[in-house]
Amino acid sequence: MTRTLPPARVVWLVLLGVLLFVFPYLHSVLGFMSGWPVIGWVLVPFRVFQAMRFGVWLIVLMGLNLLTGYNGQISLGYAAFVAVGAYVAAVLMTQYGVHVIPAVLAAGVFTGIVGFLVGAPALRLSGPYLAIATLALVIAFPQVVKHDLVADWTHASQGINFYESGTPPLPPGVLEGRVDNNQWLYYCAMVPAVIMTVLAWNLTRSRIGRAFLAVRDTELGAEQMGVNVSLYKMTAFGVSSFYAGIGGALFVFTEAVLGPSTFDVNISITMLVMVVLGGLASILGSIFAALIMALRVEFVNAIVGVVPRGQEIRIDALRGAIYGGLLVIAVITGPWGLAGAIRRLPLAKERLMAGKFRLPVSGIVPAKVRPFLLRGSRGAKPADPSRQDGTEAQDEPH
Amino acid sequence: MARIRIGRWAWVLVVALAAVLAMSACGGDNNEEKTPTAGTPQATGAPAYTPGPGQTNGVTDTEILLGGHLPLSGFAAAWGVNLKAGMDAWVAYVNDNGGVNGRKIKLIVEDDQYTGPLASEVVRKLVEQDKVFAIVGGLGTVPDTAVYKYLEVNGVPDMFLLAGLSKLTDPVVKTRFSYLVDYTDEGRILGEYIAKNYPGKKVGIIEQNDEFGQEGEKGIREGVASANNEVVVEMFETTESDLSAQVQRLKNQNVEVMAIYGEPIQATSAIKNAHETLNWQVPIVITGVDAVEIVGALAGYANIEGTVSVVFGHQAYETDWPGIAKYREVLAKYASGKTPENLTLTGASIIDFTVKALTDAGPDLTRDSFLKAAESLCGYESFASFKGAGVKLSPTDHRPIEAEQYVKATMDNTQNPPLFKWQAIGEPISFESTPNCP
Repeated sequence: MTRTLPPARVVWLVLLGVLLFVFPYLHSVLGFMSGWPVIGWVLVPFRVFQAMRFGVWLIVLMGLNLLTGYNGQISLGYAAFVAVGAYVAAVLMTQYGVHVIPAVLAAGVFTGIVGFLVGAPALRLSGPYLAIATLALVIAFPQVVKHDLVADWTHASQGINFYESGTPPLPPGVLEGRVDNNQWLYYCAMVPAVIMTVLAWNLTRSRIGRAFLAVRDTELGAEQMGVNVSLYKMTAFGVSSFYAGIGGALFVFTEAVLGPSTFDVNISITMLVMVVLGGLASILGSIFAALIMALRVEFVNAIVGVVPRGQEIRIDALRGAIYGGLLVIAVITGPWGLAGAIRRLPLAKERLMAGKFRLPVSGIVPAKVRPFLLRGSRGAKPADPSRQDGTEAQDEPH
Repeated sequence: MARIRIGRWAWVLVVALAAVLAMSACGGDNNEEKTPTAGTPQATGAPAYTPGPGQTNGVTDTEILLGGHLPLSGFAAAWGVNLKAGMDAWVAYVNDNGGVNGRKIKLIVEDDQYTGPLASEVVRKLVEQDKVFAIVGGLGTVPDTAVYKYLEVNGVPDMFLLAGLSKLTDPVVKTRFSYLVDYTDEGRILGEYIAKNYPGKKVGIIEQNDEFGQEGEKGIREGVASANNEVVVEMFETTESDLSAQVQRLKNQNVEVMAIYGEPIQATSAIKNAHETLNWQVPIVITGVDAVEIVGALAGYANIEGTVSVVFGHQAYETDWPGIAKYREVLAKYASGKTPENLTLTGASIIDFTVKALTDAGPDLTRDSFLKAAESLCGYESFASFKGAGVKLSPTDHRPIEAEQYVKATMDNTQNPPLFKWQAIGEPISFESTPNCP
């Protein structure tokens, strides 16, 4: 399906491109607007740094979405691949003086190959078992990094520090004074992010993408249709690891510090939660996920900040509980994430107009209880009989 | 939606453009820092230092803005929340008493969940968006190592880090001061205790598999060197919380004294496992980092009884020490609901040191004048300092504490209700790295 885009879409995309291109300079050019309510929040120089982080997270989370959202392979250990990419790039840049672009690409390719190979034993596992196996990967990773075989390169627990090795990430001499550190790093992150997003967009709408979805939805059916399930599952691992490698390499380049605990089990699980929150099997979902990831400090502060003076101590202690509680609520009420909710807005509007109101009930609610919650259908079966959770089939990628 | 149809030449153009943009750039030609740096250590000789930009960031006529990064959520939350409570209380106390040279202090503490990436993000936010004057009391090996170079390169004072890694103050960097005693020194002090009380016995060290554990181990080995103790080692990762395997292995090797270099969660797991689960009453010695009351509560008061550690000053339970009585008063007034204990005390103490340096810097406050004042802080006895062992800082010594004291975990049944404390044993031990105050 390679229709050309409608002109309206092209205009929006071009505008978006321009906005992304000039973003680092907005706060100085539009300085007069910095007092305004919403725009003012965006026009802070620090946003450039956060936008740069967003770009890196976008690549990383897109890869995870490709694996878990489009291909249905649950990976709790994705951070290990990101870390592999980060270490490969860091070692190449600090110890072998490799320029950043080939280092990032090499990291991506290396991690992609590693992922592809990891996909082979993963073929035998599915669902929770695969999740546990990948979790084991990320838990074991710090020990691998500290192992004698690679300690010469990775510096074991000391980690790699770009400042100490004399290769800090700074703009080149030719641009000195015209662009500051953050602005430059923003471009270093955004350009690859845009390229990788376009690639992912095309991939998911290609034969390979459809094969991924088919394998996710029904392996047996896909096999019947002639899809080489093993190959595509391994390919999914490989492609997502390629994204992880590129993302990790960019992360370490912009961060300039890396240690064995930088990508640990906690952030690995957080990544998966973010992808689910943003929206599985959705490019827009990955974008939301990266946004939330890049701004999570702000989010939690904003929520915790709605606190009367003098109660801070108690709220600080509850911060973790509030954070976790929100995640649980979000995952229960929106199994297809933010992007899914947006996609279903027209449908919801229709239903509201028709006088029916249906709660988005996830599959975890027991069957007996569901009819009482699915009012409007007179307690009858959900819309699609083959789906347990009352949602519509997610055929089309979006 | 349709695929984005990009012709072959469009791709070539895009890739070429991106390559040109970046090839002339991103990697940098191994330039050294363009912005004037503060205290970049040179390979040889004394560190060169030029005052960086942002000298009066965070300073107005009425206010001084300080920043901090602590774990306010996650597994280390109890630590961070209590430290912050102590810091906030002392800041409120100082502000109520006229502030510093007429300026009030505002302290913003962000949550880093004890992870590197988050620490790096919140520190950047504090430095670039909030434009704080200095960072105080950054907690933990992992978060501190993620941000210390960034703060150094940007000339932001990194004050009184709660991490004892030697690389943080050796070589000395103008903008960075540690609060804790060097882990190697601390380990040696613990090792000396073992050598004195358990000569010739087999020592088993459970340590975190990173520089924190390694430096502690090195120190302990130095400390026991004179007394012929055999030393065996078990390691664990920061993300492990159950140390039963390590403890079992040590037991199998017939270890007679156990030393733990880990953070509270892991230390309590080891103590509980040894004394309760395995019913193996091995004497335990732990790092000063764990000499806080929470560890007693987590491990079980019966299990931790008799465990030995070190502290850096008077503790929260010493109500008869005037400085401590004052601290307890301040806590009761400004942080009601918080029981006095060692973490809140540490937070308050850090702020006290910082305020002293800020005051000494005078009304004309810049980062440079503040750092100079901090380096001249010698002999100042804070509310928790041992008598005669005040803060000792100098241009070559950025660790303020010069004395430690052995303590033993004890349940004091004379109090009602019974009070758990790290009971001081013996006298404070001084190890002067700064000879005498000028």
